[in-house]
Amino acid sequence: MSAKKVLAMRGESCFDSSVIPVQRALKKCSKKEQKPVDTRQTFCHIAFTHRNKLSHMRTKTLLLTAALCAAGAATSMAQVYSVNMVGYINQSIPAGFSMIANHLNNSPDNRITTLFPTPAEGTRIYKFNPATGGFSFMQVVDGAWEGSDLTLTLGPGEGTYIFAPAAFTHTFVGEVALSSTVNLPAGFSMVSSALPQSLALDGAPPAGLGFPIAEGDRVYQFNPATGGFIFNQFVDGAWDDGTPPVPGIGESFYVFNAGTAKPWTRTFSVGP
Amino acid sequence: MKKLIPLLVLVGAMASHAQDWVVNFNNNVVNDPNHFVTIQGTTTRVTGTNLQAVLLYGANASSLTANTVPARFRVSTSASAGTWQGGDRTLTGMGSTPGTVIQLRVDVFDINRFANYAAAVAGGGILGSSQVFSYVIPTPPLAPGATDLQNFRGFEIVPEPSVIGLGLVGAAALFMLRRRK
Repeated sequence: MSAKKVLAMRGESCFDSSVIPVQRALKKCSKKEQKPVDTRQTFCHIAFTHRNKLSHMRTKTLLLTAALCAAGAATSMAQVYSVNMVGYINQSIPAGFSMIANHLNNSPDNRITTLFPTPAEGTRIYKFNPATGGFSFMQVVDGAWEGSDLTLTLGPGEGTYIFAPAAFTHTFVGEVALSSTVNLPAGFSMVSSALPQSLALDGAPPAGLGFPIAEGDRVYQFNPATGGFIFNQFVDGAWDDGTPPVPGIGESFYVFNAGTAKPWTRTFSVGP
Repeated sequence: MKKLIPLLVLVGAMASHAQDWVVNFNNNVVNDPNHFVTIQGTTTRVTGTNLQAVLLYGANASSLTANTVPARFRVSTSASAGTWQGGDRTLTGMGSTPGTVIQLRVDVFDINRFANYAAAVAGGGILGSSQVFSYVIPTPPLAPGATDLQNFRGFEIVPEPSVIGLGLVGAAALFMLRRRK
């Protein structure tokens, strides 16, 4: 399974190379315009000058004007800095089974039926349910989704098997979850990185995905080509394979949490 | 002994809350090409939302329990004739221990004639049944399709004569009787 991400490609550096530069440029531009009125020094200087040489009335007017300018500048500054990141991911889904993920919060929701409104006939979804240990199933027959629960979701941090009758490219659209928590129950769960990054699973951000790895944890990555799993486990404080798993963009995977339930929390900040 | 009672109650409560396995009750996902339900003696695949498939399960083929949630067959224009619109079915009491072998069977009845599966059984209204087949609770992590009923094989049902058909038969019988007189 390969994936191509347009706004935020791979790793933290990818965010730097796409969205952040725009915000930095905006930040610089706005600072130049704001400097005369926005800094404390300038404001005090104006007030001091007029208190000595002009009437109190004019001083008050100037103070008010300066305050309004400062407020305006602050308002315009708030408009300059984006507090979110939106984009899309073009994801290649091969024919047959694969384990997919959606790293973007879709609007209005992340239901499978919303994310895939016009799926190919015969498309199937098997979403792992940690509570039962089995799957919740949906499929497309006669052009419509059917299944016991049509509210199944695929949001950031979640994962599912998909069966595609033929290979296709799907475009996920939405907002990056800047603050996210993926719950990892004891035992098996099917998860993904909440952020659109392909990095070492357990390294600390920004070099890694910040997964809270612990002794005995296991990771199973599905290989669509073979139909089997790529297995790795964390034993004696190290990965059996020598290197940590690196899930791809758009890829979900099984995790076996050897301990008690724990959260996988990520925070990604944008702006100043 | 008194100390043991709360412990036993706790163990009992835990046992009653043990998760039961959930299977995917859909025959169109079975890989074997022989997974369609057909009309007896023909290759015509069954359609009709009045026809309902019910999953029966148990540890022994001789004592199967019905999951009473029926699954309707598809409309006559469906591209997936011969299959039913199923879904997730919980096999209550079977647990979820990997390696557990469960025996399964599929029955078909007409919901226009019987209000539910029990009524159809009581009234002799089962139109057809699959062979008993097995399913083994898989070991995690689950491979894709691990909850599908891959050992299911298609079967035939005996179609019910329609009301009009019955009427015609009756009229023909009356006509024959009158001619004999």
